[in-house]
Amino acid sequence: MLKTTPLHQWHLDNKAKMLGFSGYDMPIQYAGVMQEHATVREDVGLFDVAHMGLLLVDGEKSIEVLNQLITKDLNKLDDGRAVYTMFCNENGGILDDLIAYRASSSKVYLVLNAGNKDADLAHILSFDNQHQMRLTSLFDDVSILALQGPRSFALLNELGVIDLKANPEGPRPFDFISSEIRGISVQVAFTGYTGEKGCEIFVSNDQAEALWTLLLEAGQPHNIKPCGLAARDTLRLEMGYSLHGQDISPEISPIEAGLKWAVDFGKEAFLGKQALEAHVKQPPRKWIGLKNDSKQAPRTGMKIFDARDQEVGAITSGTYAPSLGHAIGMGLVNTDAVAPFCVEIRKNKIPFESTKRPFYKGQ
Amino acid sequence: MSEIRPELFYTKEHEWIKKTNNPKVFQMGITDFAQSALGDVTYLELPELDSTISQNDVVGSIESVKSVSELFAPLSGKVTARNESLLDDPSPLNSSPYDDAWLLEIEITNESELSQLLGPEAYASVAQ
Repeated sequence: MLKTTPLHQWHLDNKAKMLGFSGYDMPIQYAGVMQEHATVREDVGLFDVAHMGLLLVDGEKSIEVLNQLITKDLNKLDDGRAVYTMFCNENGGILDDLIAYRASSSKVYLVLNAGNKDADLAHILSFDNQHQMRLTSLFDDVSILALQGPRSFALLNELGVIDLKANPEGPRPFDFISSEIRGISVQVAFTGYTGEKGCEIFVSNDQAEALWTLLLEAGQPHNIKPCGLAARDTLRLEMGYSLHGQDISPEISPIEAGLKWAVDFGKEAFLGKQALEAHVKQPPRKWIGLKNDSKQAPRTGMKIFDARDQEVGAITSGTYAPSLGHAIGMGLVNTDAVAPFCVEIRKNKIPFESTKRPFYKGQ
Repeated sequence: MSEIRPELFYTKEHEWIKKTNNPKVFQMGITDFAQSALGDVTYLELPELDSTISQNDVVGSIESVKSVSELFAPLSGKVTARNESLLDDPSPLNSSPYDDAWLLEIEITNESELSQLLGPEAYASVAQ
């Protein structure tokens, strides 16, 4: 039995195509993935991402204990700032990737992937068996709505959340603030998964639909549209952002996945640190980005062959990139693999060019 | 509800087949139900012109942003025409699946296969 978000009935009423994702019945698209993708690149789109898990961690020891579990250093973060980080296991494999929001020196919010949130909670509880931190699961209490696109700041300005007159650039990425939108209390994090300006708004479940419809109405002059998870996936792939369960997993380390920047080796011991240091010296596998001029997409699991025609790994994510008009993909290959690469698509070895991320570099 | 046209024949693989002026030649495409299930089509692979195809063989593929579907030969015969413009821009498969986005014309070699095709009512029970 799939779980639902507070907006589930709204999605059904508005003819969304629904699909099970990480245990939730989620809107995959409304009008169509291409249109929704373009909406976020050109105007502003609104996503229901209430399947993701918000966890409140507080208590004096929160930062000290969390720092032993995550790859980044919360001591280096100012209050009101967020950071992309990970939980790793002892082998350096990624249990989950997450965003940690530092509210104060004794209060941190974590946003966890829907499919991992229960396991994450269990992982934290077993590590902190002395109960040095207080954990409050807001999984079933708080919804997250993602407002993403170049016109999102103009909309937030009109709603009084930000003040573009005082600060024409708007907030920095990874800022987060408490605010109110027409009487609804919210927390607004200037984070996202699309590469565009925007924010993720935390709102209590009982106000989620009111906020959703309010944003869609107020955003009409900015051509706002509801957007589904299919567009969210093509948007994140164009940026080269990793998806847990595909590009990263407990069997893949951040070093292999090309995410060394998400690990702070300068801080004291944390779970997985030793293994990750070994991976820096001798990475078992490496991340590659691929593109070509075709519209035929490489897909998860397809085999990658290198210049010697040896099978060296597999595609972890790939798609036709709507903003680029051609195929892109990410893969994990043996460290000694030699470019150029081919991907085996339905028995044909199709040549691809290696590239760095982001695949899409803006307009 | 997806559109089902009364004058067409269908397969359970969500393809339509239409008679042409030549009694030996049939046009085919994918149904409205199929295009809706696929979502925005981004890439199309069709069999070569003049190639010989056999009923139920995989003869091509249709990719959307989120999925890949195989294209099955609805009838045995020779490919006498392909909708070449769709190879550059497959988007009519979504906007006009029964008209602009025909895929192939097949000169059939086995007339008895026609009896295996579904009528509109029978297809309606498949396309749910």
